Amino acid sequence: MLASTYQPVLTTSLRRRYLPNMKEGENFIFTSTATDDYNCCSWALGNDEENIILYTAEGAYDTRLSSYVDYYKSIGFRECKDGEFREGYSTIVIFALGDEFTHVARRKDSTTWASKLGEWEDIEHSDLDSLSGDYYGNPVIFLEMKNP
Amino acid sequence: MKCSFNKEQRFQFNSQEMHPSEKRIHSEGYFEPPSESKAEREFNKRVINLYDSLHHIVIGSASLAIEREFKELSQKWKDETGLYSTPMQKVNDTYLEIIAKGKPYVPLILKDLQKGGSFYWHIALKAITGQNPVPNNDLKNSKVVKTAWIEWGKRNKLI
Repeated sequence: MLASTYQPVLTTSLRRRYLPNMKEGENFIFTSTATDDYNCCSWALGNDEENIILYTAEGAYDTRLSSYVDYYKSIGFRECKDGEFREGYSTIVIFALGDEFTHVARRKDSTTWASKLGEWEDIEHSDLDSLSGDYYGNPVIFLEMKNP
Repeated sequence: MKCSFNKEQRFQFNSQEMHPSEKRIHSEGYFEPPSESKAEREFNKRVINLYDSLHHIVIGSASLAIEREFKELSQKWKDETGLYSTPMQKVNDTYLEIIAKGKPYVPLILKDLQKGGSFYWHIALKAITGQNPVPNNDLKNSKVVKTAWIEWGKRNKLI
């Protein structure tokens, strides 16, 4: 639980500039303080101990959408038609701008998604439109994996 | 007798401006520079202090200007890319501008890391210094990355 005095790094001003569809208290709430201990890619797997960073075969940083899809498939996810919550499954959604990966969120329950916003806070959001726009682009693929 | 200053000696007597009787003594080899009077010592001391103060002001101003510039650029970069999760997206135009500033920025970046700044600074630090104290396998661990660079900065007396 966040302290009521916590001042988010993702200020209202920055939200208006980059994620204008986010309305605190309406379609999202902050659930953590800002940290770079983990990123959205690891948080989508419930991992808060490291940043998942993909590299090309040549060793360059990889931001291709296809590489992130392949990565999640390689650990057991498979494509699904929508992001509806299914008991016993982990569901994630990948955002992209064109062919470039930008963000990944995971289903928390039937009404909520969980996201780690870059190096900043974790949030829970009620829809995917709240993160859609010029910065993250749009949700482009849903993936799910049966929980062990 | 007049005196003048130069960078090395700070204070020196100018024989060209000596009184004729002093010149004569000097040319005959009997001259010994007069010892500084109390007033001269005091004067010299003040001049040296003034010189040091001006030096600190000039150097300090330049340093403050660089710090201010770094603060503005780094805040701009954080605002622009804080929501991103991949290194390539972090390296935007502002980040490249920071890298282009070169070595004067290294201590400032390291100090930012000490205060909990972004672990993505490691890309700029590597680009500017040509060093890489973080094993590639540890680049996913922000704490390890920050600690390695901070320790590197201390070893190289940059922070």
